[in-house]
Amino acid sequence: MNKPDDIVLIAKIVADGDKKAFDILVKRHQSPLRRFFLNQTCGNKELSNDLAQDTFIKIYTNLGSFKNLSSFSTWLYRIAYNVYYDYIRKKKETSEINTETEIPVTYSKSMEQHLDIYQSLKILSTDERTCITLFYMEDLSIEKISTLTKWPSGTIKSHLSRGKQKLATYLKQNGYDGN
Amino acid sequence: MMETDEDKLLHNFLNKGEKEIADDGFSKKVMRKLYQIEHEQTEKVEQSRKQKILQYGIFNSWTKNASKRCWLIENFALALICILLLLKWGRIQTLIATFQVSATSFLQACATIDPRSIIAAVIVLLILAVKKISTFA
Repeated sequence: MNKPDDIVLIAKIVADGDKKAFDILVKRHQSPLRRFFLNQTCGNKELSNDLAQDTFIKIYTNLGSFKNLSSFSTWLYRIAYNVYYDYIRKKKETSEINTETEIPVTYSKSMEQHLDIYQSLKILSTDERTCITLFYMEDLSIEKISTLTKWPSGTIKSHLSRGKQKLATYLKQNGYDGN
Repeated sequence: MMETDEDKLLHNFLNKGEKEIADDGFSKKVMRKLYQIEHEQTEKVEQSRKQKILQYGIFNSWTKNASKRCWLIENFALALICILLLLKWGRIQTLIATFQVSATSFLQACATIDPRSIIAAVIVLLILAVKKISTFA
């Protein structure tokens, strides 16, 4: 019953500019959105919070253009993806991204495990990381990833296969057997 | 997509961590930022509105002065025309008198013409017209 609730909240925000409704929407979707950014930035908490904040502000200002053709969460990921790629583009314009220097700060109690996840995600390219995290961590289908990235499903499949191979090799090399 | 051993490996590895991230004041920060942006926007709108009012005020005063200027020019032109009329009144009177004299002399001339000579002139003109028409045929 998540979807109709979202729609009711969106209607309230669009019609009356209801801030309380937006607050509920933010509380409801902050976790997956921040997790998405944490995965993309390889555990950079501050950066992922900033990007998530920008995403929610964009959502608030563009909520009128939400057509309900896809679910709100897909639309949210689409905007998040755009915000992230805009950030990458801007960053590339000024300097090359150096993810090695970013210190991963996480929310997790199992710091080591997360550190491993973020360390392992660093070996992937930006596009591969996007596909891998959306597919394996957010459980999105290839079609949904294609909808939000606007890449053809063939491209996503190849990113997935390349990323999967890289990660599996890395994990096996570091003694991870899946248990 | 068929699930392979690699898929299982990645699934297990990537989903071992915490799934839920606590809010920890994040939503409050977002709302604060939103209010801040809205406040900035309303300030901008208010500023541009004030600027427009100011511009309109300047334009309005300028147009008011312009209408005053136009009124002065109109009155000045009218006064000039009156002066010119007064100065040139004698010449205008001469022109009227000349027109009156020429008109009366023309009427007098018309009254003294012999009707037989008019008839003769008309006949001559008619003969000439017939000759001209025959050359076209």
